[in-house]
Amino acid sequence: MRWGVKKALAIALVCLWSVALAACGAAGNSNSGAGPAASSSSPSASAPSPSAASPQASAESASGPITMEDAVGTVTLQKVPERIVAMDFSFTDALATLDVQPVGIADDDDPGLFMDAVKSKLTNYQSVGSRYEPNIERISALQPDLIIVDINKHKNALEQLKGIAPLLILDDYEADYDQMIKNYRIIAKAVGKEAEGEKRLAEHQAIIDEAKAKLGGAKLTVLPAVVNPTGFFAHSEHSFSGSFLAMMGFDDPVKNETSYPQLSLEQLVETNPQALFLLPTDQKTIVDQWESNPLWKQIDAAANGKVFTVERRDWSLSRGLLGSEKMAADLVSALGA
Amino acid sequence: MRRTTALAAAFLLMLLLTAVSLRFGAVAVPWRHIGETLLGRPNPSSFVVDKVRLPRIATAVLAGFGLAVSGVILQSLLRNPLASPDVVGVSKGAGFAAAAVLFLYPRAPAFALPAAAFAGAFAAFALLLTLSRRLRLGPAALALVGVAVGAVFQAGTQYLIVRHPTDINLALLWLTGSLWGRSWSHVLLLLPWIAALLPLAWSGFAKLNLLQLTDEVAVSLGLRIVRERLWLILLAVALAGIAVAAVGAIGFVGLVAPHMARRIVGSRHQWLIPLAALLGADLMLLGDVLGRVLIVPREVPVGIMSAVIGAPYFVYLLRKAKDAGARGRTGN
Repeated sequence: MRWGVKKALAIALVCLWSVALAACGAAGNSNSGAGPAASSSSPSASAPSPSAASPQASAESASGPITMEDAVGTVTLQKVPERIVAMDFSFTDALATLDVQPVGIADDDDPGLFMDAVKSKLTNYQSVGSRYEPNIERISALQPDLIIVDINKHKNALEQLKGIAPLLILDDYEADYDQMIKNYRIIAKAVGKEAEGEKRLAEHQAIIDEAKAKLGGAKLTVLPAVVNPTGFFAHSEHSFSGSFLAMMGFDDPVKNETSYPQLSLEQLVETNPQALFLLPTDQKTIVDQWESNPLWKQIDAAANGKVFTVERRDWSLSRGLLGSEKMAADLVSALGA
Repeated sequence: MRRTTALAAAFLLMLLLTAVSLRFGAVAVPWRHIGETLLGRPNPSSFVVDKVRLPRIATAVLAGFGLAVSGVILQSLLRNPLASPDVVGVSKGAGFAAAAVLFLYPRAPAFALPAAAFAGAFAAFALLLTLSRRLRLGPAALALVGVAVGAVFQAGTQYLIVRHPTDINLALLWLTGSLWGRSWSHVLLLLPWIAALLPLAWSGFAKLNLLQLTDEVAVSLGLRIVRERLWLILLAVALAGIAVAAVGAIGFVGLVAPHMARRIVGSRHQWLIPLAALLGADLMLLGDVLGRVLIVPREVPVGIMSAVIGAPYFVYLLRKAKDAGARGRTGN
């Protein structure tokens, strides 16, 4: 029984400790909510009340607050954001075309994943780590005034991120080409460059039209696919690159309801694409084995020498205007007359 | 005396790891700022300390408690040193439900994931209950039925992964177990459950002490074995289910922490349960802080780090047990 009492005391101590920890946090919560805590200098994105406008913001808002609709609601920014964190390559692509320098980018800590056209525009940014679990501490240390996030990948951390800066929440996960254009307009507006954005979109359209003309309305079934040592992952018309090809007037040979169906060699032969764009992740891929298989030559693309290797960072990662224009250029150099 | 020392040491280690976790990370935070934040005074690091590190620490500790105590109960009930929430299928059920939400309803709100995981844990338990004739099977058979139930859910998860090969990153992170982005709302999700279930589990120590003997002994000592077993397993499932809902399917903590505790204080549950809980929390904290400082700015998920730390110890335990067995034979 004596032991029992002792143990009960120990348990109580542990519980007390956990409660104390939680209470600390709760106390901190109420503090930063009521008082001018250092970290919450910017009004929250979801609830911008007039009373929240700090004197600093109203002094600088010569151009007035910016308002736009993102994937979850209305975002109001008191001034043009200057310190932006981009949580995926697609957002970085958009910012690069608008000559906006992000202070932080979730780049999986590998600058080699940027396409050249984007990397050449970046001067001074800090990596905030993984695109799936970006480093929240480092983001807060950058003291951003806008964070561009994805509605799906980052939903578990939205609450925390909102405490750092206003969020621009975009529907980017598995976005197709049209959705990307919509997101581009929202980003342009958010960084106070709506007019520049429209101008850039017009230029983009001209580049795309020119590429279409050079391709001469070739009616081909074209399949892009990420290939790694273990598998062949087709990009159907629901994926970004697939939807771009459809927009360019090519047909999707896979007709799958998912974005990235995995195909075996037999299935690939059955879909029989007339042109194949491989996006390898490694030096050696499964296609190296397939090429020695007699089935491979039955694919129209292989039989007619229309199997091309392009960069994954251009076709699959940088889902934006620059990425699309590179895809158009690759298509012209491969299939153009 | 030795037991009190062990408990105090594990508790002090938890405090030490808490301090280390508050101090170190991707961003430098001086001790002064930590102190000021804890006193509620505004300072440049208050966001990182109060909104990122403290809730992570609290989540790690509470989940560590839940997983470890769940493991203790299951190991004693099933009289199987390999038993853990993982083995009886609870984590696997939670993992399958979470993967289903991630793959099939990618646009579901954030709270759907822990809710589904918790439901999945209980679905696995319900299946175990049905298949084991409401737990009337012996402990060894019960453990095997649990393994089978787990295998079915595991197969389901793998099917989902194979069907959606290119967007598996989110699911893999969840299945590994991660403390990334855990905020005070996760702490508030865990706290009431753990605070209610932990004392309840501890108050069952006398029954657990008997149940780890043979069924015959337990019955002869007046225990209604099937009913007690059901009640205690339910407790273990709830503890593991809520922990897994908050941090993902972390497997190793629930297996190793009870073993460490058993080594130190023996099999009396009045000591075993609190020590295992503290060691579980220690393991989670150590795994998390290492995962956060190892490859900045990226993070290694706590599920990986806790296994990396726990696995060598597990092997050491097995070797030591074998040595002891050999010595015992020669001693005779």
